[in-house]
Amino acid sequence: MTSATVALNSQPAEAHPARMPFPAPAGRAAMWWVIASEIVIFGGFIACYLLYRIRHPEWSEIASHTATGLGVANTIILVTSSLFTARAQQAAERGNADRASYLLSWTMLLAIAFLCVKSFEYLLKFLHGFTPGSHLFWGFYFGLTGLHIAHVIAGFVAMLFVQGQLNRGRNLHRVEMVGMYWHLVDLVWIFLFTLLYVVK
Amino acid sequence: MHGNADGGAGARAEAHGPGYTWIWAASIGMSLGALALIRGLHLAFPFSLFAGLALAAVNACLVLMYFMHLRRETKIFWMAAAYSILALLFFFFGVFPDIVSAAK
Repeated sequence: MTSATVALNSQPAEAHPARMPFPAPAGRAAMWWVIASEIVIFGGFIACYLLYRIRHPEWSEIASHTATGLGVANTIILVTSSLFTARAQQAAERGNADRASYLLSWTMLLAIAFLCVKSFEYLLKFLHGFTPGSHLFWGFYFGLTGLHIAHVIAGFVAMLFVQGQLNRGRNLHRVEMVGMYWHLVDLVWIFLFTLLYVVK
Repeated sequence: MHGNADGGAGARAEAHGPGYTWIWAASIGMSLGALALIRGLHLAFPFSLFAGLALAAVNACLVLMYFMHLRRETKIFWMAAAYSILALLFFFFGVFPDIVSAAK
């Protein structure tokens, strides 16, 4: 490899507009693509629930068994975790890897808290005999919240990976990527909270 | 268009918008506000559903624009807005024309 080739490859992607047809850095464009795909997955599932819900107003009685208090607690936990992620991203943009790592730790701690509350809620539902097969509403409830939990766990693992790199002072830009994913998890929960806990 | 191409520009742009703490407070306020509104006014179904979804959509816009910085990505923002309008038109006029006709 010649020295000219080495110099060319070491330049940032922004220096080569011909290699970047999409008007955003490749990593962020890819993350928006992932987010769009996730919105299609959750959007389809939620639209399906809405179709059934509007045609079955009698589900209100069954829906009244969801624990609103625990839903409120999880909303506060998840939105707060999003705040820590946004602050971590801000710290990473300023080149402060230690602070970004510290703030990501808080996000992960809140993710664990969310999972604990959700597990407790699931336990209560099972103890009361509400299982995914007991009624279509509970099928939707466990399906939607279960899919969301899978995304919380995936986000947690991704943050753990990014934090490991931050602790070595590498790849600070990945905080933005993992942050965008985490905000999506928060955004989906906002709709799930409204549909499953607020509208009964 | 892509003012956030470098992190520094993004951080500077953020300094001129509302702070993250305000967005956090607004997001929690809207989630709990929807609960208080629907319970307080005893909104019947499906009006409670529409009111709840409307507040959730505004809340989602806040998260998208400020936490996810969609407002910095002008082209993606307008694509998302156009897609949302098309999806809503399809949902109400294509899937639920009876809701539209009942509202007239």
